[in-house]
Amino acid sequence: MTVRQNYKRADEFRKAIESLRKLFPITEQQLLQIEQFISVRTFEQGHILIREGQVEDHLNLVVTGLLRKFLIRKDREFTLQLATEGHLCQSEISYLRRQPSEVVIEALEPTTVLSLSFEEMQRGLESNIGFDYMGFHLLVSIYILKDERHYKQLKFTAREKFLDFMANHPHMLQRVPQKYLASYLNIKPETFSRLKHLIRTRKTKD
Amino acid sequence: MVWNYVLSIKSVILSMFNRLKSYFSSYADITPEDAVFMKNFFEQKSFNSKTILTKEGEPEEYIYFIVKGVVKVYFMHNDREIITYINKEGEVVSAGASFFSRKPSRYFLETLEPVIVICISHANFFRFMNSGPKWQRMCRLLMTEFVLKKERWLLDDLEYSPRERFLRFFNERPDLLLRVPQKQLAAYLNIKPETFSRLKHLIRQTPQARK
Repeated sequence: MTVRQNYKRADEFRKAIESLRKLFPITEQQLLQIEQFISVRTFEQGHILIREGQVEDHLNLVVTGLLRKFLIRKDREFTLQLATEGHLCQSEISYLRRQPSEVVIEALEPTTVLSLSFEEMQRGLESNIGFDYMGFHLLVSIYILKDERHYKQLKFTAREKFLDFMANHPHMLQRVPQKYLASYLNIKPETFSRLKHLIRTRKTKD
Repeated sequence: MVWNYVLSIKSVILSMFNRLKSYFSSYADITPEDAVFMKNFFEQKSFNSKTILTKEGEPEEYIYFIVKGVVKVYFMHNDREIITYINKEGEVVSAGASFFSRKPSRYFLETLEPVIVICISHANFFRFMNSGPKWQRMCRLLMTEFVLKKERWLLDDLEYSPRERFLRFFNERPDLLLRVPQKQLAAYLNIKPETFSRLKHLIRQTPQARK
Protein backbone atom coordinates (compact mmCIF):
# COMPACT_ATOMS: atom_id res chain seq x y z
CA MET A 1 0.00 0.00 0.00
CA THR A 2 1.41 3.38 -0.91
CA VAL A 3 1.70 6.27 1.47
CA ARG A 4 -0.88 8.18 -0.49
CA GLN A 5 -3.59 5.51 -0.12
CA ASN A 6 -2.65 4.97 3.48
CA TYR A 7 -2.73 8.56 4.44
CA LYS A 8 -6.14 9.99 5.28
CA ARG A 9 -5.33 13.67 5.08
CA ALA A 10 -4.50 13.49 1.41
CA ASP A 11 -4.63 17.25 0.89
CA GLU A 12 -1.91 17.80 3.48
CA PHE A 13 0.20 15.11 1.93
CA ARG A 14 -0.28 16.80 -1.41
CA LYS A 15 0.84 20.09 0.11
CA ALA A 16 3.97 18.50 1.50
CA ILE A 17 4.78 16.95 -1.86
CA GLU A 18 4.26 20.31 -3.52
CA SER A 19 6.74 21.86 -1.11
CA LEU A 20 9.17 19.11 -2.09
CA ARG A 21 8.57 20.18 -5.66
CA LYS A 22 9.68 23.69 -4.79
CA LEU A 23 13.03 22.26 -3.77
CA PHE A 24 13.71 20.50 -7.07
CA PRO A 25 11.88 19.58 -10.27
CA ILE A 26 10.24 16.20 -9.92
CA THR A 27 7.85 14.42 -12.26
CA GLU A 28 4.58 12.71 -11.29
CA GLN A 29 6.22 9.43 -12.23
CA GLN A 30 9.16 10.07 -9.88
CA LEU A 31 6.79 11.07 -7.10
CA LEU A 32 4.97 7.75 -7.37
CA GLN A 33 8.31 5.99 -7.33
CA ILE A 34 9.67 7.68 -4.23
CA GLU A 35 6.45 7.23 -2.28
CA GLN A 36 7.35 3.63 -1.57
CA PHE A 37 10.40 4.80 0.37
CA ILE A 38 8.64 7.48 2.41
CA SER A 39 6.76 6.97 5.67
CA VAL A 40 4.34 9.27 7.47
CA ARG A 41 5.00 9.85 11.15
CA THR A 42 2.80 11.72 13.61
CA PHE A 43 3.89 13.08 16.97
CA GLU A 44 2.14 14.60 19.96
CA GLN A 45 3.14 18.00 21.22
CA GLY A 46 6.23 17.67 23.39
CA HIS A 47 7.41 14.46 21.73
CA ILE A 48 11.18 14.18 21.37
CA LEU A 49 12.03 12.90 17.88
CA ILE A 50 15.71 12.51 18.60
CA ARG A 51 17.77 12.86 21.78
CA GLU A 52 21.40 13.75 22.26
CA GLY A 53 23.50 10.61 21.76
CA GLN A 54 21.02 8.74 19.56
CA VAL A 55 21.79 8.17 15.91
CA GLU A 56 19.39 10.05 13.63
CA ASP A 57 17.46 7.68 11.42
CA HIS A 58 15.18 10.02 9.46
CA LEU A 59 15.13 12.94 7.12
CA ASN A 60 11.89 14.79 7.89
CA LEU A 61 9.70 17.10 5.86
CA VAL A 62 7.12 18.86 8.05
CA VAL A 63 3.56 18.40 6.70
CA THR A 64 1.79 20.12 9.59
CA GLY A 65 3.06 21.32 12.94
CA LEU A 66 6.29 22.69 14.26
CA LEU A 67 9.65 21.15 15.17
CA ARG A 68 12.38 22.73 17.24
CA LYS A 69 15.98 21.66 16.85
CA PHE A 70 18.29 22.64 19.70
CA LEU A 71 21.63 22.09 21.34
CA ILE A 72 22.15 21.83 25.11
CA ARG A 73 25.42 23.31 26.33
CA LYS A 74 26.41 24.35 29.83
CA ASP A 75 22.80 23.86 30.97
CA ARG A 76 21.56 26.25 28.30
CA GLU A 77 19.45 25.47 25.27
CA PHE A 78 20.42 27.00 21.94
CA THR A 79 17.71 26.81 19.29
CA LEU A 80 19.07 26.13 15.82
CA GLN A 81 15.87 25.77 13.85
CA LEU A 82 12.11 26.25 14.09
CA ALA A 83 10.69 24.17 11.25
CA THR A 84 7.12 24.66 10.04
CA GLU A 85 5.15 23.28 7.09
CA GLY A 86 7.33 22.57 4.06
CA HIS A 87 10.64 22.67 5.94
CA LEU A 88 13.17 19.89 6.38
CA CYS A 89 14.34 19.17 9.94
CA GLN A 90 16.75 16.47 11.10
CA SER A 91 20.06 15.96 12.84
CA GLU A 92 22.07 16.09 9.60
CA ILE A 93 25.53 15.27 10.88
CA SER A 94 24.22 12.26 12.78
CA TYR A 95 22.11 11.04 9.84
CA LEU A 96 24.80 11.40 7.22
CA ARG A 97 27.79 10.33 9.32
CA ARG A 98 25.98 7.68 11.40
CA GLN A 99 27.29 9.16 14.64
CA PRO A 100 25.52 10.13 17.90
CA SER A 101 23.43 13.27 17.55
CA GLU A 102 24.60 16.43 19.25
CA VAL A 103 21.21 18.06 18.85
CA VAL A 104 17.70 17.38 20.14
CA ILE A 105 14.54 17.71 18.06
CA GLU A 106 11.15 18.15 19.74
CA ALA A 107 7.62 18.75 18.50
CA LEU A 108 6.30 22.10 19.76
CA GLU A 109 2.88 21.34 18.27
CA PRO A 110 1.15 18.12 17.24
CA THR A 111 3.23 17.37 14.15
CA THR A 112 3.08 15.19 11.06
CA VAL A 113 6.15 14.61 8.93
CA LEU A 114 7.09 12.70 5.82
CA SER A 115 10.24 10.74 6.62
CA LEU A 116 12.94 8.97 4.70
CA SER A 117 14.73 6.49 6.95
CA PHE A 118 18.43 5.84 6.45
CA GLU A 119 17.69 2.27 5.42
CA GLU A 120 15.10 3.36 2.88
CA MET A 121 17.54 5.93 1.55
CA GLN A 122 20.08 3.16 0.96
CA ARG A 123 17.40 1.12 -0.78
CA GLY A 124 16.46 4.16 -2.85
CA LEU A 125 20.06 4.79 -3.82
CA GLU A 126 20.34 1.22 -5.11
CA SER A 127 17.07 1.45 -7.02
CA ASN A 128 18.19 3.46 -10.01
CA ILE A 129 15.29 5.96 -9.98
CA GLY A 130 17.32 9.13 -9.57
CA PHE A 131 17.80 9.17 -5.80
CA ASP A 132 21.24 10.73 -6.16
CA TYR A 133 19.80 13.53 -8.23
CA MET A 134 16.97 14.18 -5.78
CA GLY A 135 19.31 13.89 -2.83
CA PHE A 136 21.64 16.40 -4.42
CA HIS A 137 18.86 18.96 -4.79
CA LEU A 138 17.56 18.32 -1.30
CA LEU A 139 21.05 18.95 0.05
CA VAL A 140 21.40 22.13 -2.00
CA SER A 141 18.19 23.53 -0.51
CA ILE A 142 19.34 22.62 3.02
CA TYR A 143 22.71 24.20 2.33
CA ILE A 144 21.26 27.48 1.06
CA LEU A 145 19.14 27.93 4.20
CA LYS A 146 22.05 27.11 6.48
CA ASP A 147 24.26 29.57 4.63
CA GLU A 148 21.66 32.25 5.15
CA ARG A 149 21.68 31.58 8.87
CA HIS A 150 25.48 31.55 8.96
CA TYR A 151 25.58 34.92 7.23
CA LYS A 152 22.89 36.56 9.35
CA GLN A 153 24.42 35.23 12.54
CA LEU A 154 27.64 37.07 11.76
CA LYS A 155 26.21 40.18 10.20
CA PHE A 156 23.22 41.17 12.28
CA THR A 157 23.06 42.72 15.72
CA ALA A 158 20.42 41.41 18.14
CA ARG A 159 18.09 44.18 17.07
CA GLU A 160 18.62 43.53 13.34
CA LYS A 161 18.09 39.78 13.81
CA PHE A 162 14.85 40.50 15.59
CA LEU A 163 13.55 42.92 12.94
CA ASP A 164 14.59 40.62 10.10
CA PHE A 165 12.84 37.67 11.69
CA MET A 166 9.65 39.61 12.39
CA ALA A 167 9.57 40.95 8.83
CA ASN A 168 9.95 37.47 7.32
CA HIS A 169 8.05 35.31 9.82
CA PRO A 170 5.47 37.53 11.57
CA HIS A 171 3.11 34.59 12.24
CA MET A 172 5.74 32.79 14.33
CA LEU A 173 5.16 35.16 17.23
CA GLN A 174 1.74 33.57 17.69
CA ARG A 175 2.94 30.01 17.29
CA VAL A 176 6.19 29.84 19.21
CA PRO A 177 6.80 30.56 22.90
CA GLN A 178 8.81 33.72 23.22
CA LYS A 179 11.70 32.07 25.04
CA TYR A 180 12.30 29.79 22.05
CA LEU A 181 12.18 32.68 19.60
CA ALA A 182 14.72 34.55 21.72
CA SER A 183 16.88 31.43 21.85
CA TYR A 184 16.59 30.97 18.06
CA LEU A 185 17.75 34.55 17.50
CA ASN A 186 20.42 34.05 20.17
CA ILE A 187 19.27 37.10 22.10
CA LYS A 188 18.30 37.44 25.78
CA PRO A 189 14.58 36.97 26.57
CA GLU A 190 14.57 40.48 28.12
CA THR A 191 15.99 41.98 24.93
CA PHE A 192 13.36 40.11 22.94
CA SER A 193 10.52 41.54 25.06
CA ARG A 194 11.95 45.02 24.84
CA LEU A 195 12.25 44.84 21.03
CA LYS A 196 8.75 43.42 20.70
CA HIS A 197 7.39 46.24 22.81
CA LEU A 198 9.31 48.71 20.67
CA ILE A 199 7.66 47.56 17.42
CA ARG A 200 4.22 47.60 19.06
CA THR A 201 4.55 51.19 20.20
CA ARG A 202 6.03 52.23 16.88
CA LYS A 203 3.07 50.68 15.05
CA THR A 204 0.54 52.51 17.24
CA LYS A 205 2.30 55.78 16.55
CA ASP A 206 2.12 55.17 12.78
CA MET B 1 62.45 19.23 -28.24
CA VAL B 2 59.28 17.50 -29.25
CA TRP B 3 60.05 14.68 -26.87
CA ASN B 4 60.49 17.14 -24.00
CA TYR B 5 57.21 18.77 -24.87
CA VAL B 6 55.43 15.43 -24.89
CA LEU B 7 57.02 14.59 -21.54
CA SER B 8 55.94 17.83 -19.95
CA ILE B 9 52.37 17.46 -21.25
CA LYS B 10 52.37 13.94 -19.91
CA SER B 11 53.52 15.08 -16.48
CA VAL B 12 50.84 17.79 -16.39
CA ILE B 13 48.16 15.25 -17.26
CA LEU B 14 49.58 12.83 -14.75
CA SER B 15 49.67 15.37 -11.96
CA MET B 16 46.16 16.54 -12.75
CA PHE B 17 45.03 12.92 -12.78
CA ASN B 18 46.63 12.31 -9.39
CA ARG B 19 45.06 15.42 -7.98
CA LEU B 20 41.60 14.61 -9.27
CA LYS B 21 42.03 11.10 -8.00
CA SER B 22 43.13 12.12 -4.54
CA TYR B 23 40.24 14.57 -4.29
CA PHE B 24 37.48 12.33 -5.44
CA SER B 25 38.63 8.87 -4.44
CA SER B 26 36.84 9.24 -1.11
CA TYR B 27 33.60 9.65 -3.06
CA ALA B 28 34.06 7.14 -5.87
CA ASP B 29 36.56 4.73 -7.35
CA ILE B 30 38.24 6.81 -10.04
CA THR B 31 39.87 4.86 -12.88
CA PRO B 32 42.43 6.44 -15.24
CA GLU B 33 39.65 6.51 -17.88
CA ASP B 34 37.41 8.39 -15.44
CA ALA B 35 40.12 10.95 -14.81
CA VAL B 36 40.51 11.52 -18.55
CA PHE B 37 36.74 11.96 -18.81
CA MET B 38 36.69 14.37 -15.86
CA LYS B 39 39.35 16.50 -17.49
CA ASN B 40 36.65 17.59 -19.95
CA PHE B 41 34.91 19.41 -17.11
CA PHE B 42 37.61 20.47 -14.68
CA GLU B 43 40.35 23.04 -15.27
CA GLN B 44 43.53 23.84 -13.42
CA LYS B 45 44.24 27.48 -12.55
CA SER B 46 46.93 29.44 -10.72
CA PHE B 47 46.55 32.75 -8.92
CA ASN B 48 48.90 35.21 -7.25
CA SER B 49 48.51 36.01 -3.59
CA LYS B 50 45.73 38.53 -2.82
CA THR B 51 43.72 37.72 -5.95
CA ILE B 52 39.98 38.12 -5.62
CA LEU B 53 38.36 35.02 -7.11
CA THR B 54 34.75 35.96 -6.39
CA LYS B 55 33.19 39.32 -5.62
CA GLU B 56 30.29 40.05 -3.31
CA GLY B 57 27.27 40.89 -5.45
CA GLU B 58 28.32 38.79 -8.44
CA PRO B 59 27.27 35.19 -9.04
CA GLU B 60 29.81 32.54 -8.08
CA GLU B 61 31.00 30.80 -11.25
CA TYR B 62 33.22 28.08 -9.78
CA ILE B 63 33.77 25.45 -7.16
CA TYR B 64 37.47 25.35 -6.31
CA PHE B 65 39.42 22.36 -5.07
CA ILE B 66 42.58 23.79 -3.55
CA VAL B 67 45.75 22.04 -4.63
CA LYS B 68 48.13 24.51 -3.01
CA GLY B 69 47.75 27.67 -0.96
CA VAL B 70 45.17 29.35 1.24
CA VAL B 71 41.87 31.03 0.30
CA LYS B 72 39.70 33.10 2.63
CA VAL B 73 35.96 33.67 2.37
CA TYR B 74 34.62 36.90 3.85
CA PHE B 75 32.18 39.75 3.59
CA MET B 76 32.51 43.42 4.49
CA HIS B 77 30.41 44.85 7.26
CA ASN B 78 30.85 48.37 8.64
CA ASP B 79 34.28 48.54 6.97
CA ARG B 80 35.32 45.38 8.72
CA GLU B 81 36.12 42.00 7.18
CA ILE B 82 33.99 39.20 8.59
CA ILE B 83 35.81 35.98 7.67
CA THR B 84 33.60 32.92 7.36
CA TYR B 85 36.14 30.34 6.19
CA ILE B 86 39.87 29.91 5.75
CA ASN B 87 40.59 26.98 3.45
CA LYS B 88 43.84 25.34 2.39
CA GLU B 89 45.09 22.58 0.09
CA GLY B 90 42.93 19.48 0.18
CA GLU B 91 39.82 21.53 0.93
CA VAL B 92 36.95 22.76 -1.23
CA VAL B 93 35.96 26.41 -1.43
CA SER B 94 33.15 28.30 -3.19
CA ALA B 95 30.40 30.79 -2.44
CA GLY B 96 28.20 27.69 -2.66
CA ALA B 97 24.78 29.25 -2.10
CA SER B 98 25.42 31.61 -5.02
CA PHE B 99 26.92 28.87 -7.18
CA PHE B 100 23.83 26.68 -6.83
CA SER B 101 21.11 29.35 -6.71
CA ARG B 102 22.70 31.71 -9.30
CA LYS B 103 21.95 34.60 -6.97
CA PRO B 104 24.63 37.22 -6.26
CA SER B 105 27.34 36.04 -3.87
CA ARG B 106 27.27 37.32 -0.31
CA TYR B 107 30.97 36.68 -0.01
CA PHE B 108 34.37 37.52 -1.41
CA LEU B 109 36.85 34.74 -2.09
CA GLU B 110 40.46 35.90 -1.93
CA THR B 111 43.80 34.11 -2.03
CA LEU B 112 46.14 34.63 0.93
CA GLU B 113 49.08 32.87 -0.78
CA PRO B 114 49.92 31.94 -4.36
CA VAL B 115 47.25 29.36 -5.10
CA ILE B 116 46.78 26.42 -7.47
CA VAL B 117 43.28 25.02 -7.85
CA ILE B 118 41.33 22.53 -9.86
CA CYS B 119 37.97 24.11 -10.52
CA ILE B 120 34.69 23.43 -12.26
CA SER B 121 32.38 26.06 -13.70
CA HIS B 122 28.64 26.17 -13.09
CA ALA B 123 27.77 25.01 -16.60
CA ASN B 124 30.32 22.21 -16.48
CA PHE B 125 29.23 21.09 -13.04
CA PHE B 126 25.70 20.35 -14.22
CA ARG B 127 26.87 18.82 -17.49
CA PHE B 128 29.22 16.65 -15.49
CA MET B 129 26.55 15.63 -12.97
CA ASN B 130 24.12 14.69 -15.73
CA SER B 131 26.60 12.56 -17.61
CA GLY B 132 26.08 9.37 -15.63
CA PRO B 133 24.97 7.76 -12.37
CA LYS B 134 28.51 7.58 -11.04
CA TRP B 135 28.92 11.34 -11.37
CA GLN B 136 25.50 12.04 -9.92
CA ARG B 137 26.52 10.06 -6.89
CA MET B 138 29.79 11.93 -6.64
CA CYS B 139 28.04 15.31 -6.82
CA ARG B 140 25.55 14.24 -4.15
CA LEU B 141 28.40 13.18 -1.87
CA LEU B 142 30.20 16.45 -2.54
CA MET B 143 27.02 18.32 -1.62
CA THR B 144 26.84 16.25 1.58
CA GLU B 145 30.24 17.66 2.54
CA PHE B 146 29.02 21.21 1.90
CA VAL B 147 26.04 20.67 4.20
CA LEU B 148 28.07 18.97 6.93
CA LYS B 149 30.63 21.74 6.95
CA LYS B 150 27.94 24.41 7.24
CA GLU B 151 26.11 22.55 10.01
CA ARG B 152 29.41 22.09 11.86
CA TRP B 153 29.98 25.84 11.78
CA LEU B 154 26.48 26.56 13.09
CA LEU B 155 26.91 24.12 15.98
CA ASP B 156 30.45 25.25 16.84
CA ASP B 157 29.43 28.88 16.84
CA LEU B 158 26.95 28.21 19.63
CA GLU B 159 29.04 25.68 21.42
CA TYR B 160 32.44 27.25 21.96
CA SER B 161 33.81 30.23 23.85
CA PRO B 162 36.54 32.34 22.18
CA ARG B 163 39.17 30.45 24.19
CA GLU B 164 37.74 27.09 23.10
CA ARG B 165 37.58 28.21 19.48
CA PHE B 166 41.21 29.23 19.63
CA LEU B 167 42.32 25.94 21.20
CA ARG B 168 40.38 23.85 18.70
CA PHE B 169 41.91 25.77 15.85
CA PHE B 170 45.37 25.51 17.38
CA ASN B 171 45.03 21.74 17.75
CA GLU B 172 43.33 21.00 14.44
CA ARG B 173 45.02 23.38 12.01
CA PRO B 174 48.32 24.47 13.61
CA ASP B 175 50.02 25.09 10.25
CA LEU B 176 47.63 27.94 9.49
CA LEU B 177 48.89 29.83 12.56
CA LEU B 178 52.14 30.36 10.69
CA ARG B 179 50.62 30.94 7.26
CA VAL B 180 47.77 33.35 7.92
CA PRO B 181 48.21 36.84 9.42
CA GLN B 182 47.17 36.88 13.06
CA LYS B 183 44.63 39.65 12.50
CA GLN B 184 42.84 37.53 9.90
CA LEU B 185 42.81 34.47 12.13
CA ALA B 186 41.35 36.51 14.96
CA ALA B 187 38.65 37.78 12.58
CA TYR B 188 37.92 34.21 11.47
CA LEU B 189 37.66 32.90 15.02
CA ASN B 190 35.63 35.96 16.02
CA ILE B 191 38.12 36.75 18.79
CA LYS B 192 39.53 40.18 19.58
CA PRO B 193 43.12 40.52 18.30
CA GLU B 194 44.32 41.21 21.87
CA THR B 195 42.64 38.05 23.14
CA PHE B 196 44.21 36.10 20.29
CA SER B 197 47.70 37.30 21.22
CA ARG B 198 47.10 36.56 24.87
CA LEU B 199 45.93 33.01 24.14
CA LYS B 200 48.83 32.35 21.80
CA HIS B 201 51.27 33.58 24.43
CA LEU B 202 49.58 31.47 27.08
CA ILE B 203 50.03 28.32 25.00
CA ARG B 204 53.70 29.05 24.44
CA GLN B 205 54.24 29.53 28.15
CA THR B 206 52.18 26.65 29.42
CA PRO B 207 51.82 23.76 26.98
CA GLN B 208 49.37 22.04 29.35
CA ALA B 209 46.90 24.85 28.61
CA ARG B 210 46.44 23.26 25.18
CA LYS B 211 43.82 20.90 26.46
